[in-house]
Order: sequence, then structure tokens, then C-alpha cells
Amino acid sequence: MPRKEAVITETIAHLVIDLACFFLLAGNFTKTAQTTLLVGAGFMIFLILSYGLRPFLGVLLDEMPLQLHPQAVGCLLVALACLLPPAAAWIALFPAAVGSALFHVGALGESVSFARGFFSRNAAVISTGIFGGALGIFLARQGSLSGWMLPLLLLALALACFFFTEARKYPKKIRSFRNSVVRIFPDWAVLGLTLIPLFLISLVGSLLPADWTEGPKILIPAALCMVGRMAGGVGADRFGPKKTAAVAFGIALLLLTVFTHVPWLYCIGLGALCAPASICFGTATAALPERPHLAMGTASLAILLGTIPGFFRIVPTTSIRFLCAGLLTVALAVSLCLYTDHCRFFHLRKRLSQRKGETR
Amino acid sequence: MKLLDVIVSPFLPEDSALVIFVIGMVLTALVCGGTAFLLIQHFIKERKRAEKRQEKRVSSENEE
Repeated sequence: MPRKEAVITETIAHLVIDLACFFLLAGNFTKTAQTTLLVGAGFMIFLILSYGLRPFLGVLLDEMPLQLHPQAVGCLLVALACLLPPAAAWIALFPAAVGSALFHVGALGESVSFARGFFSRNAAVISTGIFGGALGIFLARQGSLSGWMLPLLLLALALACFFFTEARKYPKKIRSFRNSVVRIFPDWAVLGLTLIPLFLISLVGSLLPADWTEGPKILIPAALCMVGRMAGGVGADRFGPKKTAAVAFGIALLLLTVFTHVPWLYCIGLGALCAPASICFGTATAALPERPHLAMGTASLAILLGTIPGFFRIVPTTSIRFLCAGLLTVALAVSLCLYTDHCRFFHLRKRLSQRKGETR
Repeated sequence: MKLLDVIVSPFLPEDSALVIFVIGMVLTALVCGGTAFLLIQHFIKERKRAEKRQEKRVSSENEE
């Protein structure tokens, strides 16, 4: 099947999977949990299971000689969780978390394996997740989704994933993102340096005060995060990952620490903060070229570690701005050290023009 | 939730959520340790493979 269909299917499925999981969590836990602390605990356990299982599932998928369809199985497991009654919220959490982990590892691993060095292809699949989650929470609060709609939609997406995604044809080694990182670093250092900005993005995102959580307002920052991730991928292809990450972190640093009192600038800052994530996911495979699923699982784990401090609210609100400024400066410095100006788009255009010249 | 309350109540009957947070932290530590183990194992294997390749190259150059 052509790549375009696989990318479109995975992008839509990512949105629906995250929508379903957060719809389930927000809907079921707010109905059944007695305290808000218990709701938070439910969300935390889901995130730990969903993100924490990814490296292990990634190793399994990399080791297996025959690739199954993890995306399709993931969709089916989440559909199963949606069919359980709201009273079984804690039980539904497990199939939802395993299904979500399986889908994410499969879809992200596949998207980077066939991206051929284009960050935008990988970014398309990654970008829809945050918006899906926010939409799920919004719909759960509205209570405007019938019980059978999500399982049926997930079933249809499982079938689409089964037919359109590419199983069993994975390249042995993914070298396409190697030019995006500085060659002097060994693989383990590349992986470590890739995970630092991802961890910091997630940490800053979880520490920042979330004032926009009421009603449809929750969708605005989520939509801008989606656009930011997509723009990060496109920008890295056009201008190189170094320039894109530097500009994105610079904008985020300015808007999230100086213009916090202007809501729309603050939301744009959140979008800019999410942009380098697409680059980090791509360059993680540069460190583990033979294990794309493990690379995606490890990158996801970095995101999980960043979200954990947000659950405890350890940092006082007065010092959050200064802390975020410091963290974003570190992320910017790491990005400048690690990434190169290699530009996939112009590289290919140059090659094409050379070929045309030869044929003439 | 009832099942969880049954498991959790002997330890901390007043606020079961705190116990869940502790379980969460333990799970996170386990996951991080497991992933670190997998990554270290992978990089050690890669290093050994690279050393073997280097040895082969040296031996073939010596033969020539």
C-alpha cells in the first residue's frame, strides 16, 4: 500500500485513540471516583502504564521476526475498554493503557521507519495526539458522545490500520535521520541528548499553570500544540532541525516566561514548545537505527518522566516562570549542540536538479 | 474502585489515592530501570559487534 494512506490512517487513528482513552478516563473517573485526588491518581496510573509499557513492547516488536499489526490490536483493545461500564473504571484502565501503548509504539515506529528522513511525515502522526486527548476530555465533560460510537469508530480504524499500514517490510537499519545529528557523538550520547529536550518540553508543559481547562477553551492550546508539532516537522525539513529547534525554543522561552499575561501569546508559546518534539522523535531513531520501536518507546518514557512532577505541584507558582526559563534555556543549548543544519527538502531538490542536468 | 479499595484499605484506609501515587512512583522507577537495562544491553551488544568488525578488518588488512 502507498505510504500516504498509511500516514493518513495512523494520523486519524492516533487522534481517535487518544480521544477514546481520555474520554474514558475523564468520563468514568469523574462519575465514579469519590475525590479529585483519586481522579488524578487514575490519570497518573493510566499514563504510567501507557507510556511505561512502550519501551518493552518496542523491544518485543523489534525482536519479532514477523511484524504483527500492533496498531490494529491497539485499536481493538481500546474499543474493548470503551465497551466496559463506567463502574469498572479501574478495570477498563488496563486494556485502554495496553492498547494505547501498543498503538503508539507501532504507529510511531512505523512512521519513523518509512519517513526517509522527512520529519514532517513523522510529525503528521505524532501531532494529533494532544488534540485528541483534549477533545476526549471536552466531550466527556459535555457527555455528548453515545456509548457505541467510539467502539465502532475504533473497530473501523483497526480494520483500516490492518489493511493500510505496512507490516513485515521494515528496513533493517534506519540511517535516514543520521545526518540530522552531529556525527562526533556516539549513539548512546545521541540518545541521551535527544531525550533531554523531550523531557524538558514535557516538564515545562506540566509545570505551567493550566488556566484554559474550562469548556471549549481547552481545545485552543491543544490545537496550537498540534499545529506546533506539525510545523516543527515541516520546519525541520525546510530549514534544518537546528534552526527550527532553536527558533521554537526561543519563541517558547519568550512567550511562556515574559508574555504570560496575554492568553493568545501564551497559547502560541505552548505551540512553539511542542514543535521540537517531532524532531526529537526522529533523531531518537538515529541513535537506535536497528530498533525504531524501542527508540519510540524510550522517547515516550522521557515524556512520561516530564509529566510526573506536574501531578505533585512541588514547585511554588511564583518561581515557575524562572524555573521554566532555565529549563528551556537548557533545552535550547542541548538542541544547538546536537542538531545539524542538514535540510532534507533542499538536499533532495538539489539531487533532482543534478539528475535533470545529467539527463540533458 | 471497590476492588481497589479492598486492596488499599488495610494500608491506608483514609486516603487510598496516596497509596496509588506511591504505587505509581514505584512503577515508574521499575519502568525506568527496565528501560535503562534494555538500552545498556543493546549498546554493549553494538559495541561488541563493532569490535568484531574492526578485528576482521585489521586481520584482512594484515593478510593483504
